[in-house]
Amino acid sequence: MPKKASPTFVCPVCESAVLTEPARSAKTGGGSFEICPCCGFQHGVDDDDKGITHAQARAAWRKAGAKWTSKTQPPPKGWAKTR
Amino acid sequence: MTEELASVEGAGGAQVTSATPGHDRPRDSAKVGDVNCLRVLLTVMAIWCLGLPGVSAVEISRGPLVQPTPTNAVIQWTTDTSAGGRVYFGLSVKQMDRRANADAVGTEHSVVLTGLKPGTTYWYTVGTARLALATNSFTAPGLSEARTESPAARPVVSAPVVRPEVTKSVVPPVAKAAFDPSKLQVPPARQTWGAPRSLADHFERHGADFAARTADDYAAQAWIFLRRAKAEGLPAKRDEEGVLRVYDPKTRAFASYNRDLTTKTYFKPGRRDYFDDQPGQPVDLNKLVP
Ligand SMILES: [Zn+2]
Repeated sequence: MPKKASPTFVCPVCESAVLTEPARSAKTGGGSFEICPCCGFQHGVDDDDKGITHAQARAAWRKAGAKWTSKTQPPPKGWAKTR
Repeated sequence: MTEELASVEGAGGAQVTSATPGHDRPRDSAKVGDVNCLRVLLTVMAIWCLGLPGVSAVEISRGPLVQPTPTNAVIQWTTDTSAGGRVYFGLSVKQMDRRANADAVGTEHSVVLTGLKPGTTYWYTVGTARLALATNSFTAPGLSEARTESPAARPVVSAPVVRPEVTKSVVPPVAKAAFDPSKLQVPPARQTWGAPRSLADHFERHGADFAARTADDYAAQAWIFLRRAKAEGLPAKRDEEGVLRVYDPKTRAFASYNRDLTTKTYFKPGRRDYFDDQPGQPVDLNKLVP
């Protein structure tokens, strides 16, 4: 049986479709605790604990060159072309 | 998408901040559906922005949180500055054709969506009358789910609605024999960490909170923390999706675990009330953790 590609969700900070679950659960309101491999924002921690807004994080990430941040998770094919 | 949004901004002079799972699809899937989706979305945003020059930026500082019942939903969010509140919603990202407004201007926003169909998924965009701030989706519970007395499934009576109840401290600590982790056989990280590919990133960010030497050591400490929490009766809560959150007020260690008890993350929050603000109901770890 062919394997289904795992769904991806868009990171509300860097707008890359690289998250494995929604950044915030629509049901519970809780953050996913996932660290976006692209921009490095940890949903539910950088916002709920550190009080950083998505817009602030996005601006900081772009200012730093909008680079892929995860050292162990490679970017999806074609990611660089979209930047 | 970025360029098109920019043109919308230019037309209205208002800043559109997109935070959207549905709005910003991967760029390489420019299919007809996506183009239509973009058109409708841009129309909505254009309506939002037209003729409203010189708007200062408003940002979401918290939320949006959704409390759905089978036929209603309350959406709440907080903005950094005082503003009105508006929600566009509908059956898909392409079809957010209904709208609802908050009663008052302020930083705490609460909007009630009515006339929902049980068991149906809705997309919504929250914002002000001028700005779209965030888009997401939720599913109104089916009627049978609503009978199960889940607090979030209780019918919403009317606006204004208070923010969701936050469960304060939970299972009271019980005096027990000192916890001895040396007797535990810790499984390898690939079995205990929910998304093994992400472990290195979590270790890099939070490993120092626990003086962890390696990623495996960090994962092992997170696994042991849950066993210690069970033994010592530390506060724990579980949300509707089965996500578990555990906190030690003394050491300020916080961990979250998936339904299968694999670790999502482990760190020390800076805010004292971080755990209290997390969703979920108190849970007895003795009934949950083998
Ligand atoms: Zn991101």
